[in-house]
Amino acid sequence: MIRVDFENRIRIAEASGGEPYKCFQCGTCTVNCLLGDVIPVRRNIRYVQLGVLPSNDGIWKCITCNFCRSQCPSDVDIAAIVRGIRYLNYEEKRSPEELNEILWRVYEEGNPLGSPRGERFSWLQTLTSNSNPDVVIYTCCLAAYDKRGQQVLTKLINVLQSAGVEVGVFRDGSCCGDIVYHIGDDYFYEELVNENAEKLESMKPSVVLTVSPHVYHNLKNLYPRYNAKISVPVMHHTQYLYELLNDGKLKLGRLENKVTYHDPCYLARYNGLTEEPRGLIEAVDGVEFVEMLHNKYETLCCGGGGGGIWTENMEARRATRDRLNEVTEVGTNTLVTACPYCIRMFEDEAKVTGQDIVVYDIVDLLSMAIE
Amino acid sequence: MEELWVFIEQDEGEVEESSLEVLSKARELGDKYGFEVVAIFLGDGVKNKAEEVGKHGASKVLVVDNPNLRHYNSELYSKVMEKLIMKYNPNTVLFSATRNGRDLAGRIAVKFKSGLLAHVISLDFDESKDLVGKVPGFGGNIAAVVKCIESRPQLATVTPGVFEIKEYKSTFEVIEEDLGVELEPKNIKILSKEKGEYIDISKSEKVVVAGMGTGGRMDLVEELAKLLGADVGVTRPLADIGVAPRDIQIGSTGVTLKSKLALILGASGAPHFTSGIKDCGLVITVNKDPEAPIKEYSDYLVVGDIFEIIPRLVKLLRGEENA
Amino acid sequence: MLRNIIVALKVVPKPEEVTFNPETKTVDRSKARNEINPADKNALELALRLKEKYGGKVIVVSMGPPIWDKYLRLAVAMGADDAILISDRALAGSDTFPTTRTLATAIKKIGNYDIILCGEESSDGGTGQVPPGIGEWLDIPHITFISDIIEISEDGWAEVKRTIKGGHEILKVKLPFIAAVELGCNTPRFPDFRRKRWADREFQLTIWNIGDLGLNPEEVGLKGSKTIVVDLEEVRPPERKREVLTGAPDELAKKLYELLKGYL
Ligand SMILES: Cc1cc2nc3c(=O)[nH]c(=O)nc-3n(C[C@H](O)[C@H](O)[C@H](O)COP(=O)(O)OP(=O)(O)OC[C@H]3O[C@@H](n4cnc5c(N)ncnc54)[C@H](O)[C@@H]3O)c2cc1C
Ligand SMILES: Cc1cc2nc3c(=O)[nH]c(=O)nc-3n(C[C@H](O)[C@H](O)[C@H](O)COP(=O)(O)OP(=O)(O)OC[C@H]3O[C@@H](n4cnc5c(N)ncnc54)[C@H](O)[C@@H]3O)c2cc1C
Ligand code: SF4
Ligand code: SF4
Repeated sequence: MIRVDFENRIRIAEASGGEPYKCFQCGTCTVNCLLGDVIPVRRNIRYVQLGVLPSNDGIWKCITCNFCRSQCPSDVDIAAIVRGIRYLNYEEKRSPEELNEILWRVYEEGNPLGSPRGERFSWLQTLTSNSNPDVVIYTCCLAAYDKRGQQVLTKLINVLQSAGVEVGVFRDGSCCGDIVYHIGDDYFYEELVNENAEKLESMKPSVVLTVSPHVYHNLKNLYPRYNAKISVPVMHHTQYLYELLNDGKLKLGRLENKVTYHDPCYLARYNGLTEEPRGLIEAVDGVEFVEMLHNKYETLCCGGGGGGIWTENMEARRATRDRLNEVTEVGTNTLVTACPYCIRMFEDEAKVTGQDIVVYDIVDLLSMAIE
Repeated sequence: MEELWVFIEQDEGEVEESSLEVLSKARELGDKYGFEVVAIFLGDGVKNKAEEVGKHGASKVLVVDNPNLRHYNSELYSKVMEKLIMKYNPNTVLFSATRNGRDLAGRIAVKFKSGLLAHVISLDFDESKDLVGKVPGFGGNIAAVVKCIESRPQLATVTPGVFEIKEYKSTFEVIEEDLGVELEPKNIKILSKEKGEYIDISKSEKVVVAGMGTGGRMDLVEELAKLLGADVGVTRPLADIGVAPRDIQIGSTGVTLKSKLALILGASGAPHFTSGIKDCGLVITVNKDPEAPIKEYSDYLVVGDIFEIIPRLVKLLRGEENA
Repeated sequence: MLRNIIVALKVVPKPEEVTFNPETKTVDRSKARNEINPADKNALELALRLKEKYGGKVIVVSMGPPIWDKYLRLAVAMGADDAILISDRALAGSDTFPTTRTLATAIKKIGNYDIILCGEESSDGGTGQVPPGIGEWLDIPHITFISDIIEISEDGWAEVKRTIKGGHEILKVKLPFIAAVELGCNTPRFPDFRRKRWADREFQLTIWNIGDLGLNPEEVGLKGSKTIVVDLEEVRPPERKREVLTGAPDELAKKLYELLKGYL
């Protein structure tokens, strides 16, 4: 007979923002989870309701896409429960050992790759202004150290500059802390994000611009919970570019292409930003836009969230494949998205599956339309 | 005549080759500076192997034969070495810088308040017969010329592979030492030993080296190596995660290659690694990062993804596709 | 219950950031960032695991300049109970002989030890001679290149795993002993930041000078050394062609094939 451990139940529920109480165990989540055969989603929530802390592998395989939430009749924020469980496992030193290595890298080099701190912007040739810029870009570590991400950043700066925007780059920053949050090391996260916020504030930006929905989500929604204040608006680049477009500052030419758009989970599902990217794509004359089966709030996942991109998570790649198949199904080979993780995951997986799919950031598309 | 000693390492009677490299070099130094070169040979039933050892430059082989010396044991070996050194007062004792050689030398040095040159890549004496050698440091980028000052005996460990094994025609005598001490280990006992087949890639002609960029996919690497008739080596992290044995780790804490060809897949080129490939002939690297530091150490850097290029190369080598 | 577990910990410059000035023949470490010697982190991790299993107190001891303070605090944040820095101008220029002497004297002063752990070698000097040397000064057994301490039994013996050519051996060694821990044999834990805050702000680091250890300046540093560095050289890699080949995978595979053909 299982007896409910009330005290532990409260503890886990609190760490999960009270979400477990909303669940009535219908099982829809497990059926819909992109990795449902390795993550016992409903069962884990059941354990939590009984006051037992789950620490199975599935907890660490979850890519926190919250696709399950989008299907849940009770709108349970399941990713928040996963994160609560991870946090408590981390506290109890029951998390996978390898995660320590990622934490060390963030601590020592300021990024989860462990690439030298000094090389974060050594590739950046374009002149940016750091005195009173209109926007300050807070780049994602992957974008800063990955050739492909560097291209996107460079193009973004060029597109912004062509619209007359003074661009600054946040050079002193470390990793936004996303991975630290997902590992569940709250105290390191708190220290890291406060340090970042303080340095960012000292640049006195009027707008903080992010190329990654993950950085966006952290700065906008998580930092405040850890008392890290950013006193100016934080915007994802699609938001800002959309404003420029509506103000008539973004002049776009013609481009023949049939494209589809993948909503990054942390942009669409977590932050409801679905119209801005579509508005930008459709503003390019000659572009035929097709919608995939799963879109907007019910988008699928690239497999890179929740730490998926930094860990050896083979299962996560199934989510990537599912999405690539949807791209093929709508009869295009151009996939537009707006997240460095998505680009990396899709590009890498398409190589493995041999699918001829070109992955663009919206910025790539705009930059071609401007030229 | 003053004596120049070389510790000859063995396990179960099998002589460690790099000890013979050191012995060959010692002979050269002995002839030049007037030392009698003595090989110190500890083991079990090793007396009849003394001939094999001596011809590489000794004028005397001192054998201590005892069942308890069959494997290296730091307690017993340092005890025997202590007795021998006290009895004969050699001027210098050299070791190969293997795990066991370094283990033993470090202990002896303090026992006799001796200067000890670490894993040297060159060796000589100065006019007052003080030992001088080059010691690489900082991952192998910088070498210090280090000299022992007036201690006797003075010691050095020698990096394996820097000197050649030579044979000398001169005769030598074999002396069996009976130390009259009890050789029962009191503090360190060997319970078991597990040895796989040891592969020595330090002398391989061709080597395919796998770095972290291969994601530990040793099957792919091994297949390629087989087609090229090459041996496989790895960077340290792959040995750390256990997909390959330590023995085939290349770099400052592993093996130094001397191959004619090194094909290196997905290694970034950290100094601790590149010190192990500096003596190679042709170096070809594959890396998806065109700016990876390994470029400096490559004749050809092929920029691209291993998983796209290597399977295609394998097909070409198998003749399944035409070049 | 174990008595003290002492970890000798060194701080080193990151090797890839150390540069050499061939004109002045000096090593420039000023631009290099420092870190805890990588293998010493593995030694500390092993010590902390032993403590969790068998009890005892983990004490970190280090011989170096005052700026190492920060890294000793990091070791405390990882879980070390105490940290001691031996710092004295007279120690400058020590080779392994006075280094082992000084560390051994400090370890004696700490006393009550069962196990002393070091890294297999440092990433700067890298002699690997320090652990056996300390063993001799303390007259206790030493074992190098260990990848684990499997068990410690009631009768005061430990079972350890040591890497040897071609594999490993399992040894039984009598406490107290000193061991050198292999780089990469475990994953060092990440510090608990609550503890780190305390370690950075409140923890009292013990600092000893050579007087505290009863050593005189003649016995340590350059004067107490048995070796001297007479020259420094850059080890230049042989000139390589450094030709960069780019293109489609098919093309690259073909180019590689051409390059390799002569070696088949
Ligand atoms: C005291 C000490 C001693 C050490 N001794 C040694 C030693 O003896 N030997 C040793 O090797 N290391 C040693 N190291 C470790 C060394 O510092 C480096 O960490 C190590 O060499 C890095 O290994 P790597 O190049 O395989 O991995 P990484 O540095 O991770 O490099 C991986 C490379 O692969 C590339 N890559 C990734 N994916 C792909 C792909 N799909 N296609 C093509 N390229 C790809 C990346 O661009 C990157 O350049 C030592 C370290 C210390 C501190
Ligand atoms: C390029 C170069 C070459 C050198 N050559 C020689 C030489 O040939 N002979 C010689 O005697 N000296 C030599 N030295 C000096 C030697 O490096 C120093 O004496 C150093 O203080 C200790 O040796 P190590 O770094 O080699 O330690 P190692 O023996 O490689 O270190 C092993 C472990 O001992 C412990 N340890 C080492 N030093 C300390 C410390 N200061 N505090 C706490 N723990 C410690 C750590 O756990 C470390 O992981 C050389 C130095 C350099 C830079
Ligand atoms: S779908 Fe929602 S209500 Fe149903 S089991 Fe999952 S979390 Fe609970
Ligand atoms: S967040 Fe995504 S991976 Fe995690 S349980 Fe839900 S659907 Fe599965």
